[in-house]
Amino acid sequence: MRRGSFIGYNYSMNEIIEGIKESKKNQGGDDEEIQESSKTTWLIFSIHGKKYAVEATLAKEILRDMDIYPLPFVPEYIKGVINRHGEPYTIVDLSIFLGEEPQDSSLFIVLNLEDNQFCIQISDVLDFHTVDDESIIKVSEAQDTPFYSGAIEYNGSRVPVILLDKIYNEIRTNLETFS
Amino acid sequence: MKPSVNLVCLAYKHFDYLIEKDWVDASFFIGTKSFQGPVRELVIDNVNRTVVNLDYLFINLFDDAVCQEESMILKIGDEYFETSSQACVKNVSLSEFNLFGKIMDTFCHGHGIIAVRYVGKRIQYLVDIKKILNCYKEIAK
Repeated sequence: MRRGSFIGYNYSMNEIIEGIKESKKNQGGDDEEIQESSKTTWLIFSIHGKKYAVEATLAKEILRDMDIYPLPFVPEYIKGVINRHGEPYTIVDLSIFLGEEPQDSSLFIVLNLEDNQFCIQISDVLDFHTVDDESIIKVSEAQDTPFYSGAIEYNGSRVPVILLDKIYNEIRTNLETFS
Repeated sequence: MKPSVNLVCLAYKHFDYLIEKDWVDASFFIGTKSFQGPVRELVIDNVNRTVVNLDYLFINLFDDAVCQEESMILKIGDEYFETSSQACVKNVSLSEFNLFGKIMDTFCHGHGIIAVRYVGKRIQYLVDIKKILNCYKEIAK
């Protein structure tokens, strides 16, 4: 069994795939499941020690130790491209994007986007965490930024939920401005 | 573009730029050492020409060392460029190239980077040389 070793946590590829399948199962339930409280599985990751969460269904793959090839003329948060199965995937340093310091890590989440090939650079993958949707703390009660939709409780702390589609739209707008 | 094209490959330390050979009107050596600045005047065919230094733009913008070898001059349209990279001509099928994805394609094409391919661990950018140089010139100012 292929086993990857992320900083502070060991995940096998099978565990990651099962985590994503579990999240899809929770989201696409039958009528009987809908009558109970619906749940969402979140991928918890960290950047410079800060935890963040994204919906697990938005993560296609987690890659490690990929060479980043620089691209000219791009915004600072676009580090370049990586070669994923012969296709170029654009790397977004989420830390720079959110106004923090650049990252030096080689861990990437490949996003599940149609017609676009993007990865976000992160420091560490921590967990797949399933919570009741009712327990998600709304943005007015949680951290107030345009890229967070709320927060979830995880191991005693509040983890902001990242709105990947807002980040993606912001990148698209920025690139149109750069052109 | 035809399905298979002859491309002039300008090889730098970490990447290659590929230019369609048909766009290059002439290439020749004039026995000058490579220059460290972005632009200089050179006498070519008894006429003073402005020559853009591709090494300065492509390498210096990535904080890499400029090669100190004899420059090769490329004439593309009415403009002249110099490079000390080891240029060679390759016949490449366009099917070997990949695009960046919907949004990045729009951005990259606008800046002259048409497509990309990987040769082992080496990345090669297929470029519209005029467009990419216009973008670099803006940054180098």
